[in-house]
Amino acid sequence: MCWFGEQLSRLSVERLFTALFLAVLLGACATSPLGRSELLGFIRDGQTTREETYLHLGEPTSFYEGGRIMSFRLGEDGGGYFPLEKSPGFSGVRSSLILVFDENGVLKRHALVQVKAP
Amino acid sequence: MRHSWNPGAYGRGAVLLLALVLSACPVPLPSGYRGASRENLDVGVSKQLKKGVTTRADVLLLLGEPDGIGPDDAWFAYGSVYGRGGVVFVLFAGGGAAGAGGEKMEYRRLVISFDPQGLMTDADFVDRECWEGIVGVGSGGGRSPPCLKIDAPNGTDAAVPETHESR
Repeated sequence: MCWFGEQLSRLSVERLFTALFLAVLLGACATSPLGRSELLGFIRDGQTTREETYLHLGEPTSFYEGGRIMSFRLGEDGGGYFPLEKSPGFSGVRSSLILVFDENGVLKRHALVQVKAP
Repeated sequence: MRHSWNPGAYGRGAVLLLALVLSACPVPLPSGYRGASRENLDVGVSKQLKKGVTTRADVLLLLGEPDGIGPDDAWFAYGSVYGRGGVVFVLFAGGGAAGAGGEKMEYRRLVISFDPQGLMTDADFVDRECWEGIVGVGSGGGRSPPCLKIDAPNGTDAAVPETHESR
C-alpha cells in the first residue's frame, strides 16, 4: 500500500512537472499583439487637437510646413495599429497617418495612407 | 599532320564559366518589392496632381510620408524598388558557398516640387528598368549599384542598360 502510494504520488509529481514544462514551452511561443484596434479612434476632423494627438500617438515621425502637418508611421498586427519610430525605408510600416492642423492646432484633414500591402 | 584544338584565352574562359554554371545550383529570385520599399507608387499617380492647384498637404494625404524631402519642403521624392525576378547560381565547395547571378529591377521615382505658398509647380515621374549583378562569397556579397536613386531628384548618373521614362 505504501509502495502504491509512493508510486501514485511520484506519478502526480511527474504529471505536474510535465504540465508545467508544457505550459512554459507554449507560453514562450505565444506573443501578444502590439496593435490596438482603438488607437486611431480619437481622430476627428474639426475636434482633435495637436496635444491630444501627442498624448495618444507620441512623437510624430515627420513635420511639414512648420509643424502644421504631422505624419506618423504605423505598423499593424492582429490587434490593430501601433506607432513606429522613424527608420530608413518603410520596413515593417503598413500605413502613414497624415494629420493636417489649422492655425489653432485643431485637426482639419487627415488620411491613413497604406504604403505597403498586407 | 594533326591539328590540335586550341581554344585560346577567351575559349578557355568560356569553358571554365560553362563548367562553373553547370556545376552550380540555380536559385530563382521571385518577383516582388525589395527591401524597405513603399508599395503605393502607381504609374498613373502623377495624373492626380495639378500644377498650381495641388497643395503639399494634398500630396501627403494622397501618398503619405515621402522617401526624401528637399530643404524647406521645396520638393518631396517618392520611390519604389521592385524585383522582376532573376537567378543566382550557387556553388557549394569546401564547406562554403559562393554565388553569382542577376536580377531585373524596376525603379520608380516621383519628385514633386512646390512653390513657397505650398502649391505644386512640377511633378517628374521616372520609371526605369535595369539588370543588376549579384555576387556573394561566404557570408559577404554585394550587388551592382541601382540605376536610379529613388529618394532625391539628382541621382540618375548610373549607367542604364534599358530605360523608359515618362513625364
